Amino acid sequence: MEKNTLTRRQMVQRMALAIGGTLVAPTVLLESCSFDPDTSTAGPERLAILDAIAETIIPRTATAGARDARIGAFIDVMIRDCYYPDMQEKLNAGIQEIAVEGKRSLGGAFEEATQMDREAFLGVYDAAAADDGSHFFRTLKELTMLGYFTSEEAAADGVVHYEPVPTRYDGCAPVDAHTKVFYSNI
Amino acid sequence: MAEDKMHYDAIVVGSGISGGWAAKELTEKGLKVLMLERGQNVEHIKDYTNTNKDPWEFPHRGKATTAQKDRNPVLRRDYPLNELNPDWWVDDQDCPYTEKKRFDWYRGYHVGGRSLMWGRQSYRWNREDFLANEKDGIATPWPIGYDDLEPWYTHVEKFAGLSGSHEDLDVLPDSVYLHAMDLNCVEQTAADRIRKAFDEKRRLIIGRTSNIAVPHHGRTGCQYRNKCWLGCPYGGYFSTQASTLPAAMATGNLTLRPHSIVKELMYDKDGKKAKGVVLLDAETNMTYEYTAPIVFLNASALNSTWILMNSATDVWEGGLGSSSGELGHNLMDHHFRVGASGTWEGDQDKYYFGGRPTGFYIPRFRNWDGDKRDYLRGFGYQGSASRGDWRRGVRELGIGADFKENISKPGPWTMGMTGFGEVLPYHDNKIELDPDKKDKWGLPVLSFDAQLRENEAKMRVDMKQDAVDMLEASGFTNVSGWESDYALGMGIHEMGTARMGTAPENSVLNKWNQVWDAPNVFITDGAAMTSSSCVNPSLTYMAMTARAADYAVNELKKGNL
Repeated sequence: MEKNTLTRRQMVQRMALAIGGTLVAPTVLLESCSFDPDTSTAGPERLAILDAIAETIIPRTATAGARDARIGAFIDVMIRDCYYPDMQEKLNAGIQEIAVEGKRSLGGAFEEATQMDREAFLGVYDAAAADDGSHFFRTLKELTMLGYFTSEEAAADGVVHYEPVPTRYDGCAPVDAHTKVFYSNI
Repeated sequence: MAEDKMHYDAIVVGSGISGGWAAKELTEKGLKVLMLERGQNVEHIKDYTNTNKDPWEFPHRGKATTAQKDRNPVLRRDYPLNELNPDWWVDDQDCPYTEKKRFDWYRGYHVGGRSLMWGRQSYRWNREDFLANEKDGIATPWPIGYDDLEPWYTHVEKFAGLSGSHEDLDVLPDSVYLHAMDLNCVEQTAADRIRKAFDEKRRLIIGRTSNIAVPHHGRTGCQYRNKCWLGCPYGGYFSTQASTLPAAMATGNLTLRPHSIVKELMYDKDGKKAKGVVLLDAETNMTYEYTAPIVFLNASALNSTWILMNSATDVWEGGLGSSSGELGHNLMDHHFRVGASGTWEGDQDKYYFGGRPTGFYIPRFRNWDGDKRDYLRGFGYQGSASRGDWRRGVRELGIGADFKENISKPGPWTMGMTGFGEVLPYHDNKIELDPDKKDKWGLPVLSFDAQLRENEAKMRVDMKQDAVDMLEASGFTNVSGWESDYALGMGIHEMGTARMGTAPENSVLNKWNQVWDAPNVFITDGAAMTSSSCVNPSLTYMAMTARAADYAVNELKKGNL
């Protein structure tokens, strides 16, 4: 397993450019790279605040929470690789605001506060994001949910009904209290 | 190695849906065939790199990175730019093109072409589709009718393997089906109510798709993973790799040469026919000449035309087929991304199991069976009903344990649909060679100058409102019509630019898909289309290819080619 996706990506692309083609590059990259949160280059402080934000949105219950699924690292990788600088700045400023305002409001580091206190604090941001699709928290929530609901932990704990090979289709299946949402393809 | 042999009975340029069929039919009739593919090889199953991965194995969960976006300004306009099958979509930097007007050109340069990523919806054209140009007095009449293609539809359907229901509708003739997939319970209720509310004139049926759910010609069949576009290790859908290529290879008559960009046809102006092809090896940049008495161009609609434009330019400045004045003209697609969606309050105790690789289809009803609108032709709808997944929670208010619990249950039922409308063949919608820009191999690139016009704009009004009406008549709530950004090409149904016709003055191809100025050159991909109908075109390319291949072999045996 490569330790750094970005480095590997750049290396593959440079290699491909050097040999005059890029058609093979993405395959090589994907073959060698299943999700490894360690590819995040974030420091412990950033991972701690990101994990705490994600865990506030999707906490551990009888099933795995966002921190168990290492969603902080996932969010970091996504911000790094999939967003342009203006959006990166907006998201990072939002994360910083949660850290600073959280500390002031909760009387201690955001990530050390109780789930209940963190929920009460982020609830204000969530309400704002529900009304405003361009709010930074909307994106953090989306990334948290994307990462969590497509994680191995969520599948293993049955938070979603993951069937890699269903083998059949039933257009009218019954629902009971235990029915989980059928995993939909990414 | 292919280099050992430079002469074949036939050369097929392209290995996608129609090229694969040409290779199969010609080799099975005993011809030694060289199939050329400009991109890399993709071996069935072995090279479906990502098809068995779990979602968490993708670092970005399928999303494109900014590095990918920067490199691919066209692909990023829609779903083709992603993390799941990026090497199957043509790189914008290597293969640029010019947009005098926006045209979204999503290409697949590899063995199998877009047969690996296609949407698989498979519909026969109806009788009127072939008569429409003549009746409407536009463009030029089709030189063939439904009866010419009917036996060939049957022929290709039996081998390709289709899923669909028998409905006995004139507007959408039935194919040969192996089985039908089910509508889900909400779609079935909507189907019953639409049928009643619109007096049998509007029908909602299960989408007809080239997915098989039973073993067929050595293919295992669909496992309802709904991951077709990553390549199917079960051979669940029709593709070159799963279907036509193994059949052609089994004859011992096929040579497949990847990395082979055909630059031009060699033209014998005295004999008035093509001698063969000149190709550029995409890896070595070496040039090779291959000869054959028959050449099939199946390079995808616009690239087949590109090859003609670069051929016989010493005879015709605009290239082979340009004597008609129609080469490069009459570019079509299907316009879509306009429709409606609504919420279903009932069936909260019902769900579905498995990933069905098709949705529903509503056949055309406008300008049909006595209906008359202020525009020509019509449209069909594709759509589906489903229950919300975790994505619904993103914009909903809520975080924490209760939110997590709620969002992991099936959400509300919604049903949505988009129309797919016919685009008329306008002479002014055209492609030509850009005099300046070159691709990675130094070859000239295409320049696009095409747009939707008044007929399509009027049609889109109905495409939205009729969808709203059907959802409301079926009892859906919160029904809203929508229309989003559409540019020509987005349908990935490029058609026209080397159309069939009744005479050399009005068309590039005759009724057997032969180039008028070189009868041993056959074009049976989307380039040949004289009009576009509103149904998905690939099944018609298959039938047209099998018909032309049969004719070509007969003519060859008679010594006419």
